[in-house]
Amino acid sequence: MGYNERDRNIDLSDLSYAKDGDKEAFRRIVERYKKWAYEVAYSFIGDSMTAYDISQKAFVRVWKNLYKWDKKKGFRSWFYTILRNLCYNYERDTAHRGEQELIEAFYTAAESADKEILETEMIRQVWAALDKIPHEQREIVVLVDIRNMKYQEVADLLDIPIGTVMSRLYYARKKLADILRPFMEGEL
Amino acid sequence: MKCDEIKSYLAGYLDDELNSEFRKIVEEHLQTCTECAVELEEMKKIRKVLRKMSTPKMPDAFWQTYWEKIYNKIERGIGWIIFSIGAIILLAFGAYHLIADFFIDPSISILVRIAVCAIIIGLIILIVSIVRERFFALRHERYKEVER
Repeated sequence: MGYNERDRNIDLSDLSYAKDGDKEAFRRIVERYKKWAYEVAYSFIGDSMTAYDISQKAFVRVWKNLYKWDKKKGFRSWFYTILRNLCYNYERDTAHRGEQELIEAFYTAAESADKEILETEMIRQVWAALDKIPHEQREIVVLVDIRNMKYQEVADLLDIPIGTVMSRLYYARKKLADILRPFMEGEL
Repeated sequence: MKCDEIKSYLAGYLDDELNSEFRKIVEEHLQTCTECAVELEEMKKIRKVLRKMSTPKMPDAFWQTYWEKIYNKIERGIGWIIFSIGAIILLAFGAYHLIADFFIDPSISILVRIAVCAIIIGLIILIVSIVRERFFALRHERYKEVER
């Protein structure tokens, strides 16, 4: 989802109306961002129904906090912060599967030599590995590698320098490589 | 450039996000440094795995009812706020009259009145303490924009 000056102005206009209680203007924002919100939430959570629910919660949260919205920050960046924090809160409040269980599941799949199952298990290992790296590195991986965003877009969204995006991405990928090495002997 | 400096550009090099000057510097370094070249290969493989992680599509019906679900939640929120305000006013009004009648009733002994007074004061202190603690916790909450 590219984001330019025109999109930004449309958001600002609709949000200003929504702030005054215009639900139709808020609906337009929801329609524009719903799929993006779901995809971002999915990239953090890895479960479609949960991602769908969290994306809706994020919009409700936006509505309740419209009075706090700062025009200077823009909508997308503010909305992303709310959405991301809801994802982190969900993770914090949800018990995750144990590491041992994941490793066992992977080797069971490997023995079955079924490529599709093996790939599914690898993806599960990647979700588990993503849980283990710092949040600030993880979100860069999510946005660049999973959401395919350009560095400049990520820098704008998170309000950080482009050099920081690059260095966080380097450390994130390096950590992921270290964690996933035992499961990716053929690939790493 | 030393390896540590080059490594900070490896991600940008891999994603084609460097300008031509830095790209050339990294390329020249990679030709002579096995350690950085190995790291770059590892990163390529990790990126390949990560890019396979596509998002499943939700059925159209979920998107058609998306706004309605949000609207209902917003509306319910407003309903709860109005209901709560009314309930608080009624409860406060009732409590005020109950307490006032109790304290001016001459048939109730002074000792009982003191005991009830102590209970009320204690309860108020407890409530204020809890509210203050919650407020303090909220101010220092990392994810304060998020409702649990």
